[in-house]
Amino acid sequence: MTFDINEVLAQMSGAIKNEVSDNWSLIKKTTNNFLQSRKARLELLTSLRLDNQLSEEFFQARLEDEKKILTSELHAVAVITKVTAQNAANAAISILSNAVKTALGIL
Amino acid sequence: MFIASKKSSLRLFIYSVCCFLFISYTACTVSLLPTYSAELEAQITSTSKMTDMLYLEIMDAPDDKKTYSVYADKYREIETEINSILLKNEVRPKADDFIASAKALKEYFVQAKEDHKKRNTLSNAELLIYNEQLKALWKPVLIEEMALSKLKY
Repeated sequence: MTFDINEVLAQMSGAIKNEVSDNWSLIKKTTNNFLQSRKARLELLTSLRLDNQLSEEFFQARLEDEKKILTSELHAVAVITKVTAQNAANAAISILSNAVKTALGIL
Repeated sequence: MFIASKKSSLRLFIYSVCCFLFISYTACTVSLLPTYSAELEAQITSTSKMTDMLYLEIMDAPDDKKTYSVYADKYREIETEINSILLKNEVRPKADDFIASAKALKEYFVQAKEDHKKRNTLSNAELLIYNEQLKALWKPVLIEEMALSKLKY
């Protein structure tokens, strides 16, 4: 029966690192995508207002709506973050569980 | 000495069994999110397409054909689909983020529809902005569902 806690912790830490780095690029990509879209929308909104194609009232109301869009985008980033956390936690738990089972000769 | 060694082995065995049972019963998987639904992802994709189609259609129409009554059925059809997406999220556990995004989308869509209804017609510039902001509100809803497909456990 061998159970090296340091080895198991190192493996758990490695699994967490892998999960986080795999999903980090997705979080970065999504956030950049949201920022670029916002920039394009604000440019369009401003140019249409400057051309007098939109009333001041409509323009202000849509600017206010941008806050709601931002909130929704933050919810999406939160979901991706939770996916990362869930995958990382379960990968670590799975390693610990397997190490104990192996030490007991069950696996 | 033999008895002491046997006692120690027995204690170790019991300790191991306890450890195993502890791991088996308590080391279950962590669950922070609802499970992925391919059906819901498909519904989100198709309804966002319908929304885009509606606004592009109104923009393409001549001024006298941009009136609300011409598009009332399409508005109703899209609103029903959005309501269905919201309802499916409301009955899923751990779906607070999903509900918040779907609610924001629903509120905005109804607000844009009511504006069209009240003023009877909208300019292409206004329709363009409504469509762009609706696309921006559809995106988080779709991204959230797609992110669930990346869950491994």
